[in-house]
This record gives sequence, structure tokens and C-alpha cells, in this order.
Amino acid sequence: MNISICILTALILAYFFSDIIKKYSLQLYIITGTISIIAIVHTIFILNGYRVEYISGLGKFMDLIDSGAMGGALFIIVMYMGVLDMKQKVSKKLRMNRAEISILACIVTIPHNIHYFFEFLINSHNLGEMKGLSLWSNLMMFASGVFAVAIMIPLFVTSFQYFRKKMKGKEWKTLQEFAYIFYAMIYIQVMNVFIVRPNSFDRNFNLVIYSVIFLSYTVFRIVKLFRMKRMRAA
Amino acid sequence: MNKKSLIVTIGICIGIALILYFGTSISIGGGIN
Repeated sequence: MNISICILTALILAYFFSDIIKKYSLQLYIITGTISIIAIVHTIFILNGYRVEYISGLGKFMDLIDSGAMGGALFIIVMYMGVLDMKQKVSKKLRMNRAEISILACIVTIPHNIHYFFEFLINSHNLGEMKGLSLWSNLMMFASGVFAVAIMIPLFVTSFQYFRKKMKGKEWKTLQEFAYIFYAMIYIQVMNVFIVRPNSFDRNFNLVIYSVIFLSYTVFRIVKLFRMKRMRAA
Repeated sequence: MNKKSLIVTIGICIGIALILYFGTSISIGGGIN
């Protein structure tokens, strides 16, 4: 449920405040970075055995960052911008901030990455007691997460205009194509997170919604690829 | 980024930090399994 709320909120903000996002992108990075640094500090407390509790409202907001739902929603929006029809006014408005939104997504995802990477390492002694699906899903979750972060870092750095200008156009485009592997890693990780949870409406809803989002994106991307190939051939 | 914009950004960051500081309680016990 969190992911749908995040996607909807981020879409509304990205559409109605597109000019503000463009104009004040640096300020937004600093503000988002501040929130992320505080979330990382809280993560360090949690990993050291402290209990971190928030006042109502704030708790939900911080949970969206910690669970990766906020970052995931922003990445999904960035992902779909690649298959949008550029003739539409909505697409143009959303796509003008693609780099900015992907940078914000990376900044907001860092606390989530740090939390679950170190939590897995600290709890790794429990792996010996796990069997079957639980063991494999935990290993897959960790491996896909590490792989996704390894791809995310260069994509994050090269999303800044400063670094983008230092690269050749073709080099930059080739690097950005790794984003497809990154999206696949997010899907694998999310599926492994929910598949081991006990059967509930929330678990099933998340499995369905993520599958619909990522599989429909794959279809749209393939259709766009064929359309572009046909246009080039004509 | 001009001076005025920088001051406003720092102000917002301090505001967020204060909200998160006073809106959070950290105690021993809990955390990881």
C-alpha cells in the first residue's frame, strides 16, 4: 500500500511543481540529503540495539524512507518516464525533471541501503538456521540489493550535469543503459521481500502491484524498442 | 545558488533537523534481532 501512496504523491508533486523542481534542484538535494543523513544516524542507533520511535505522522514518513518505498516510488516514476509518449503535455512536464528525480531517488534510498546491508551482515549468523525458500529469498534479497547499489552509484554520480558534461554522449548513454539491470534488481529484491511474508492482503497486494508495474514497463519498453527500430529502418 | 537562497535552504534544513530531533525518542532496547 505504501508504494501506491508514494507513487501517487510523487507524481502529483513532480507534475505540479516541475518548474520549482527544475529551478531549485540543488536546494532540494541539500534538503533531501539532510533528511537522509538524519535517517542514517537513526539507522546507526537501531543497528547498535537502540529503539528509535517517532511522533505520529513523522513515524510514517521516516518508515517510507527506511523501507525504501519512497526511493522505490521515485525510481518507478523515473523508469516510466523512459516509455512515456513525449507528444503528451503530461509526459513533457514529468520528463523535464528526470535527472533531478533520479538524483533525489538515490539520495533518499541511501539510508535504506545502509540499514538493510548492515542488518543482513549482523544477522548473517541466523542464515545457518534457515532452510528452503526463507534462506534463498534472504540470499537473493541481499545479492540483488548489493548489485542494485553497485549499479546505482555510477548512475547517481553521472546524473549530475557536472559529471555528465565530462563524459562523451555515447559513453553516458551506454552507462545509463545499466539502469535496466538496476530496475530488474529492484523487482527481484521486492519480490523476495514480500514472498516470504505470511499470507495477508498487504503482502498479496504488494506482490501484484509490483508485478504489474515492472512487467507492464517491460512490455512498454519492448514495444518502444521495436517502434524505434521500425522508424529507423523506414 | 545566491546568498538568499542558501540562507533559506539552511533554514529549512535546520527546521527539519529540529523537527526530527524533537519528534524522535531514542532509548536502549530494541533494534535488530
